[in-house]
Order: sequence, then structure tokens, then C-alpha cells
Amino acid sequence: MRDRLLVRHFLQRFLDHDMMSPHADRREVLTFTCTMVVVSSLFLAFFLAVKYQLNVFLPPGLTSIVALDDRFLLISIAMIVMGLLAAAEWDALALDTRDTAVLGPLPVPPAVIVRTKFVAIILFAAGFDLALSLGPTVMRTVALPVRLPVTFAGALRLTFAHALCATAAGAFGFVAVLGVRETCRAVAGPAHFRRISAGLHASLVVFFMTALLLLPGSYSSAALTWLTPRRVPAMTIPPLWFVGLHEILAGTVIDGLPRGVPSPRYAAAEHDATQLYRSLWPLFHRLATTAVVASVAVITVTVAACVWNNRRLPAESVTHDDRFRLLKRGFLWTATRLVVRRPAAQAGFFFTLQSLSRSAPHRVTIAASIAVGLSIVVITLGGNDLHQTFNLATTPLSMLALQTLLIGVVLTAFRHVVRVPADVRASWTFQLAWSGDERPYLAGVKRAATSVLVVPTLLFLFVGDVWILGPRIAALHAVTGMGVALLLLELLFLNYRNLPFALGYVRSEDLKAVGPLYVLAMLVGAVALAALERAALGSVPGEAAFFGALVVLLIGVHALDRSHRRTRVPIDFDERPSGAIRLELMR
Amino acid sequence: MLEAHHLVKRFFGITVVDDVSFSVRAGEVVGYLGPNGSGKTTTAKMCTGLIETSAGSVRFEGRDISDDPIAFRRRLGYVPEEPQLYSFQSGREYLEFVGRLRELPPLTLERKMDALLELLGLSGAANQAIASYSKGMKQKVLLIAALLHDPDVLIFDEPDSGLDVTTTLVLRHLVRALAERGKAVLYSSHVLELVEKLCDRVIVLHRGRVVADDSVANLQDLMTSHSLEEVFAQLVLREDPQITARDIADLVVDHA
Repeated sequence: MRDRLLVRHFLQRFLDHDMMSPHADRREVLTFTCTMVVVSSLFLAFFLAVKYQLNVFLPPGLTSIVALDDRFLLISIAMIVMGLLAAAEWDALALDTRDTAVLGPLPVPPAVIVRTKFVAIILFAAGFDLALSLGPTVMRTVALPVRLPVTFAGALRLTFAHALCATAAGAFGFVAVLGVRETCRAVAGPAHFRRISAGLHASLVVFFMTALLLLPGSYSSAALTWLTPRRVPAMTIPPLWFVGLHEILAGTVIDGLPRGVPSPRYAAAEHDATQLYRSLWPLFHRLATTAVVASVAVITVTVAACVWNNRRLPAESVTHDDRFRLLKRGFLWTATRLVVRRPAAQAGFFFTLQSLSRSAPHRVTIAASIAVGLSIVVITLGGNDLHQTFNLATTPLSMLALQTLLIGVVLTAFRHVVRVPADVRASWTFQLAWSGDERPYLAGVKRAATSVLVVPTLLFLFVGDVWILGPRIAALHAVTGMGVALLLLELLFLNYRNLPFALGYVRSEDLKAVGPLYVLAMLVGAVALAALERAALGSVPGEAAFFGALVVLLIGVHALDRSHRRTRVPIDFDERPSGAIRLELMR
Repeated sequence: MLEAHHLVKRFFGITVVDDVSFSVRAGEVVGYLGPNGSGKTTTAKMCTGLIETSAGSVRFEGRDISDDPIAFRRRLGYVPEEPQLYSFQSGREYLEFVGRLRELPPLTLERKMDALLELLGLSGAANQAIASYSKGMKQKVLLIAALLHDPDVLIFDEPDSGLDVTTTLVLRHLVRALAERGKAVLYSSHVLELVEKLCDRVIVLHRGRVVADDSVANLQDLMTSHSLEEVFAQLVLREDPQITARDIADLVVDHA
């Protein structure tokens, strides 16, 4: 009874999440999330099954090869989504000082608290994992050409193998993240771990989000792209381990079917496919062994790290971090003397930096935008032959537009996160200390975005551009990027008359209508700018005209913003969503 | 200096503050007493402008504070009952943030902040995350944040909650010293002994209404009592605390 109560308490903690509004109905959120997961996976399984139903005469060899793509996709999704889930629940994956404060004084042995916490984690992960794999498992036999003479036992074996491999891959993704977290905590100690936790968390979100976004474009032809040794060895791609396991468990169900006489349309391809599939068997064996060994190793390390970290209930630890003091002072001096001089601007600047790095919802949103940006970079670069030498005239527009798109994605995410309060309970500080003029504070916020989002993005791209475009054009391209970033920041905040990070989050009513238009405008704008840039850069008059126009535009938008802000608008610190939003009529 | 005129506050039709009026003059410390749920914090928040009144008004130097709330808050220092701070900041970062929002000159801010952190024994922990602070440490940060900009009106809502003995004594003398420098202080507390020693005048609130507003000495004369505790008991308590305590103790040991 006591254990069950504690497990339920810890399960509820997974819903007590920073990413969720404190006013949201937890049960509704849980129901909605579970439904979305099950329905999405069912839809995907149905979508994948359609091609088999449209090719009812597909012979066994080709079916085996085509099915590898599906297994790779579904197993990758299970692994990545479960990894993302673990990253999303980062702080709830371990006991914290609040648990010690609440449960410590009760006559419950610490071992029971630790045990029930991990039972809750296992139940939570298992529930989500099963929900994720349910659709494709149920639909497994539908994803077969109807003319294949698969027996009932064979169909059961296929279903069981998929269920096992997909849930094992999902569990691997979840446990790997938990293992990374707990191992780092065990190695660094609780105090040091607190310092690196935010960075680690953001890196994992970027990694899994990027992998998820790149997956749809990279899963097809898995046998030829990933399993045959061309670019990346198959053993370095964890989802392939479980694909190998699946083939070892159930691959012979289809491969072992009598071939008969395939239709002339498939005859040659069927022969090649069968040869290819059978040539992969040794690799499947190695992959399957790796899947088992890696799973056991990850579980062992994670359990060991968890046991080590939970020898006693977590206590509040206080550290004095005097390392990098000179560096911090140097940064402070530079920021307050060169970047933001006015006190209110400094407040906006430093508060933005603190919120972005230390508040989980803000960090995750920015990390997700970086993942989107990285995906765009990978897709763009993947679509161009980087071995040839480029000059400005031959540089594809997509490569020039990349910078604008990347900046656009990151700054759009930034524009979103400023609407999310850093801590709504502490927002009274703004109300009391507010000077009434949002301009300097907002200037500080924008400069913080420029310093920590725009400049690193441009530097990251600059390194690649120097290699592709040469230093001169790369420098001019980076200057264009900076101009575009400043212009976009001004435009994004043009009608913003609130206080960043201070007010309660009010969802946009017209996001569904405006969102696609915004994305379209960004794509068209980025390509148009790239075309202009390509035409202008390279000749001095062209460059002068191009940068002159950019500066004029920037000054114009800035002047417009200033004229808007000349009239003071009182800030509504208690802004409430509209009736339609509160009644969920916009969903 | 600060006047509350017929303040009323209703939440969803329930009246929590009902026709409360009082004034706090420059150089005066006014104690604000009442049992839990009597409307003290709601009144304090209305006086800061953090929540709107359902009826009545708060005036500062004769002007309604809602006419220019920002100008009023420039001259207001407030220590709330609940120490809600940005837990991801350190104490120093929070104070810098507040000082910068108030547009204090950087050198003044740094000098005052360092000195106040030192005087309140918080300099050693100033760079730690607020998340690791005790309630008393958070109260100290709030106290410093309320004093940094040299306010003319101070509203303390149970500022002594969680403070150690030394700091409570410092706070007591500090409030007096501030009043001597012309500040108007509204001081809400449960520590009757402290209020008795500290305040020139006491307002007692019960069920959202003012049941007494006078100097401690006058109240003691009026109620023929020897201490503020007795006055408070006569005004507010409807049951004998000893009987209530005995009933609770009986219930605790009852295993039937």
C-alpha cells in the first residue's frame, strides 16, 4: 500500500513539469499526450503498410529489403522519441532535495523511497514505450503483401520480433539518457553535476531533435545506405543493432518463403534483393550481438550509477565556484562597458542570459531551434556536392540562404521564449521595480540574443563558408547575416509592447493561420536575399549598394520602432488569455 | 504620507478586506496585526498596487497611487510575506537585477549592495543560487532589495519570518532608524512583542475589518491590559487559547 502510494506520487511528479503550465489539467495533458502517441504511431504504421497493399505481388526477397527500411524507421523513432522523453523529464529522473524535504521526515526507509522512485521511472518509461510501439506492432501483419504465403505462426513471430525490438530500442534510448545523466552525476558529484547539467541537457535535446528531424529523409534504402559499408559503418548506428536483432529473430519468416516464379517485372530485382539480403546475414548477427551486449552494458552502468548516487537521499549542497572568476569579471566588464551601458539595458541583457541558460523551458526551446537549424544545415549541405570548388556565381542559392534560415529559426524561437515567464511567481519583482520605459530593457534583451544566439551561429557558419566561399566572400556573407539578424530582431519585436520573461504565457490565437505563412515568407525571403547577395557581392558598387540598402532598411525599421514606442502603453502584468483560448476553443 | 481609504477586496464574491482605512505618516512605524486570513497581506498588496482594490483607494502624498503607479513604486520598498524570487539567480544577481531595473547608478548599486550583504551576513552566500537559500536568507535578500533605492515608504509583510535572532534584532533597530530618517513604515507581523516595542501605532485587523487603530499605550489603557498580547487576545480571539491547545493535545494522543 505504502509502496503503491509512493510510486503513484513519483509518477505524478513526471507531470509536474516546467514545460507544462501550472494551471493545466494534468489528467487532460496525460490523456492528450498518450492519445497523440498511440494515434501517431498507428497512422505511421498504416502509412508504411500502404505500399505493401499496393504491391500485392511483391516477392519475398524484395519484401525483405523494403521491410528493412520500415524496421529502421520504426526502431529509430522508438529510440529517439524515448531518448527525447528522458531528456524532457531530465530533472524528474532522479530524487531531488524536495523529495528529501517531503519524504525524509516520514517513517519510510530511504531504500523504499529510492526503490519506488525507480519503479515509477520504469513504469513511466515502459508505459510510454508500449504506447509508442503499439500501433506498428498491431499493424505488423498488415505491412505484408497479401500474396505472400506467411503462416499464422510466421505472422506471430514477425509481430513478436517487432514488438520486442522496437520496445527494446525505445528502452535503450531512455536508459542511455538516464545512464548518461547518472554516470555524469556519479563522476562529477552532485555539486559539479548541477553546473554541467544544463549544458548536458541542452546537448541531448539538440542531438535527439536533430536525429528525429533528419530521420524522414534518411531512412529509405536503409539496406543500401546504412548496411552496406559505404560512408558510415553500420555498427556505429544504434538503431541498426536492433534492426539486426529483428532480422535474426524473424528475418527467415519472409526470406524462407518459397520463391516460385516471380513475375517478369520483379524477376531480376528479386534475384538481386535475395542475394543482397542473404549477404547481410553475417552483419545482422554482429548487429544483434551488439544490441544485446550494448543493452546489457547500458543497463548495468545505469543501475550501478543509480545505486551509487542513491546511497543516501539527496541533500542540499552549497558550492563556492571561484574558478573562472577572472573570466567572469572580464565578461562582466566587457558587457557593461561595451554592449549594454544603461542599467535597465543591463538588467534585460543579464536576465535574458540567465533565463536562457538556467530555465528549463527556455533552454529546451532554444535547443529545439538549434536542432531545427542543424537539420537545415545537414540537409542543405547533403544536397550539394561539397568537393567541387565554388565561386560566388556558382554557389547554390540554398547554401547562401542557409545563413538567413538558420538565423530566422533561432530568432523565431527566441521571440517565442521571451513570452514564457522565467518564473511567474517571482514576476512581482518586475512590477515593483519597473521604471515604466520598456525601451532600454528590451534593447538589453535584443543584445543578449545577438550575443549568445546570432554571433555564435554566424561564427559556426563562417568557418564553413571560408572553406567553401573563400575568406573575403565569407566575411561579407557573415556581415550580411549580422545585418539580417539585427533587422529580423527589430521586426520580430516591432509590435511587442510587453516585458520579456516577466508576464504569464498567453498563447497566440492565430498561430495556426499565421505560422505556415510565416514559414513560407521566411523561405521566400531567405532565397530572395540569397539571390540578391549573389548578384551584389563580388563587385564593389554592388556590395556598396547591397549593404547600403540593408543599413537603410535597418535604420528605417528602428525608427519605426522608436516612433511606436514614443507613446507609453501601460503593461498589463495580469494579462489573461482570451475567452476562446481559456475554453480551449482554438485547439 | 500613505493613506488607505475604505479599502475593499473581494475574491470571487468573498470579501477578504472590508472597508479598511488608515494612514501612515512620515517618520511613523505602524504595526499591522491580525490572525491568519484576516486580510493583512491582501491589504499590503493593495497598498503596493500589486493587486487592484475592489473599492476604495490608496493615496500617497495625496495622490491616488493608481494615477501613476510607477512613480509611487520608485519611492516604495516592499518585503513580501512569501519570498518568491528567481531561484536560478544568485542573491547578488537578483539584487543587481532589481537595482538595474530601478536604474540605480552602477557604482552606487555595487557599493550599497556589497555593504548591505556584508551587514546582513550574506556576503559569503551572495554568489550561491537562491534555490539553496534558507527562508531567512531569502528574507534578507528581499530586505536588501527593498532598501537599495532609498525608498520613502516601506511596507514590511512579516519580514521577520525565518530570520535568526541577531538579524531580527538588527531589523528592529533598522526599522526605527529608518523611521527616524523620515520613512513611513507599515509593519505587519505576528510577533506581538516586537510590534509593541517597535511601532508608534497599531492597527488590528479581524475578518477583513479594522477593529482597533491606536497607539499601543492607548490600546492598553482602553482595554485595561498590561501587554499588546492581552489587547490582541481581547480584540481578536473568540476562544480561550488554552482550551483550544488542550483540545488539540487531547486529539493528538487519541488513538481510538
